[in-house]
Amino acid sequence: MIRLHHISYRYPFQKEFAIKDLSLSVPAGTITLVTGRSGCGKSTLIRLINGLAPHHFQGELQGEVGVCGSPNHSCSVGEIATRVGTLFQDPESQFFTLIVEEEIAFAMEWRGLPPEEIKARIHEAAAITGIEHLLEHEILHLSEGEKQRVALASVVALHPKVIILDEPTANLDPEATRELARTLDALAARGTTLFIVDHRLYWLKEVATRVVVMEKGRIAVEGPFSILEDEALRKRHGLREAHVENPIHTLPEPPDDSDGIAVSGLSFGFPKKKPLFRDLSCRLPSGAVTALVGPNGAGKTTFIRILTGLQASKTGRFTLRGTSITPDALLKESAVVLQNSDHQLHMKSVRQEMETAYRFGRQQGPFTVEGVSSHLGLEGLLDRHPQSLSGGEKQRLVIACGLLQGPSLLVLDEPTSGLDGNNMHLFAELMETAADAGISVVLISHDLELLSRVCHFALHLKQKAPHTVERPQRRHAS
Amino acid sequence: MQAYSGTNNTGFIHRLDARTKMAVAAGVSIVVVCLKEPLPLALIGIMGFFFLLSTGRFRLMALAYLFIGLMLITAAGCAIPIIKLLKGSDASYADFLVPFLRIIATMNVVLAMALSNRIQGMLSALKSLRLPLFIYLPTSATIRFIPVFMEDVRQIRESLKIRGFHIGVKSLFLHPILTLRLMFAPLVIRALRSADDLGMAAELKGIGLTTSSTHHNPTRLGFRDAFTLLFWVLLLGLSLGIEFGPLKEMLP
Repeated sequence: MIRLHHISYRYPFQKEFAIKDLSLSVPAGTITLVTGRSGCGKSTLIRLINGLAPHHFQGELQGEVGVCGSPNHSCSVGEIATRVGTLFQDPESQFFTLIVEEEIAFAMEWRGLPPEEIKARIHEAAAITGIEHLLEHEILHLSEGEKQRVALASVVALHPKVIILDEPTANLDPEATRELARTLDALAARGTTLFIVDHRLYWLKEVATRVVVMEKGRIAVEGPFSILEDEALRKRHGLREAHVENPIHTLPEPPDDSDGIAVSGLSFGFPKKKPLFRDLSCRLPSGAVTALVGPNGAGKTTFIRILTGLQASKTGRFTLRGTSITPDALLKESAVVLQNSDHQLHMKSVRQEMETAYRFGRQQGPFTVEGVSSHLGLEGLLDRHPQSLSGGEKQRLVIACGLLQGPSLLVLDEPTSGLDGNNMHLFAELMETAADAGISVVLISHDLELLSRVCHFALHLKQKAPHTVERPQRRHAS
Repeated sequence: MQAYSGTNNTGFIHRLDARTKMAVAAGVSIVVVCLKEPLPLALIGIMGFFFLLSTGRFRLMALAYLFIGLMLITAAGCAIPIIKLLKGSDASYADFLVPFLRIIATMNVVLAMALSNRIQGMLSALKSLRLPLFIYLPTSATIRFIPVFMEDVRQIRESLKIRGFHIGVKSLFLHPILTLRLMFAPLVIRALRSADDLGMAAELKGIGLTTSSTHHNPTRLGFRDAFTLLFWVLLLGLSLGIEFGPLKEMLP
């Protein structure tokens, strides 16, 4: 179905080839997982298969890429798209409309399909992806998992023979991830070939036909999913775990007598919506990493926004180390690392970005520009413009800036969504250092591997009746 | 999602097709340019005021009229002494009022359209106009990104607040270049990235392979739309009749 024959590819103005003499053959109806450390050439491989490289990105291509027997070099990207569908990491970046049904129909309408066939395909794709009940909903109001399914449905409706998925679980909660795995399995059973690039591995254990591990533009290892059981191999190639236990139900609740930040009597709801919190009381201990967990829509981000004064609330009492404090004052003691790193980078160089964070922060704590940049692998990038960095590098930079502010409270929203195994471990070590320095670290994340690796406590927000839930045992000593 | 975020109303104006409101706004905008007399302009302005009133967005209406009122007072401060000084000339208070009546008449219908149209309604209206792909795609992408853009602005302001930068009028005067860079650098980068992503997404969806398009769910104008269009056609015709036609003697 997909055939790459002695492929080498180099981007314009680059000395190094991103892909080097790579040959790969993917049979029809299979699920292939491609993984490897950041920068190993996974994304380039996707672009070669869907035709963006070299048609869109230009560059130098040697060898031949073929899909369904047709060579890519003789077809436009649009023609290749009749055989290959692509699902982006961020589904919102590929939406053209605001209503689910309109979005699924969009490409079919512009391909000139008859209205009756469009309607039939919409319902077929919605049934496969489980979004029949969402067809009339506004896309922007859906959860990340639902948006991902809408994007997948819009690809499935075009009846491609091959579907490429680029880090599809980066923003999904565990339930949505399981649901996606089931949907992909069903698509493969119908004869669709699935080509998945992801750092997270565990969710494909039951469904992946084959695993390809890449290193420096070449295939390092390939075989069944069981090759990922080898810890030495995972370490050698900077991979994540092949099995991950869900730690959410084993992590203990933060103790009532813990030092740090305490919230009591917080009730909040958006106008004309159900209340999110009713008389919520909880603690965020200093010197520990607390996971803020709950399903999408439970109010995790809203809770943090209220806590740091970004969202006004008339109720709730807040204390920091036993002293009453307003959310506005707490913001000055806090560093919040948001999910979208593009919004948080303003300066001309990486060095300036970090130095400004330090200067405008509390100028306290164990972190220095040199130390953090070295630990997060940013020391070679200090003179680069922040917006010229890759996604993973930007993510590491905003985390570095958060640490350099020297906060009492450090909140990180999905900090590891694009990080490979190596960088995830480096990040976890930094969080441990931050906790050791007495900072209250709060993680909002669906990354089970990260939560399992670094968290001491879990604060559960439930969808309808939010409150903290006591858990049976304490996992780590803080 | 409304073009200008607000409450989800289901009143008469909210149930009108976006094309009807676009036609009314376009018609009023053209006719007011042709009119020079206060009476027909005031007639359109008053009807437009009730049109805007039906959106139920009273606070925003008050703000818009307050802004126009401030402009009027500022202009009057300059114009009235000049009119008094030039007693022998043709200048009159009516001439002074005409530009403001034009602004008010246009503002009423354009604001009514913006406050009552859902963005998807505008996208559907654009689609039904059967524009060529190279016009439709960038226009619809621009409209579709209005709520995303507003969310981006909010997030950037928040991220600056988190980092300890205080963006406001004071910082704009004291450090204009820095303030503009802090605010706009992420916005520009985000816009460029979104444009690039959407361009790739359009190619990867095979859009542009054929020159013809179809509509799986075409929208049709209803009775309300026909009634509204007829009303505004008659009103604009009456206004033109008052100024240029047989009703000219109605003018003082």
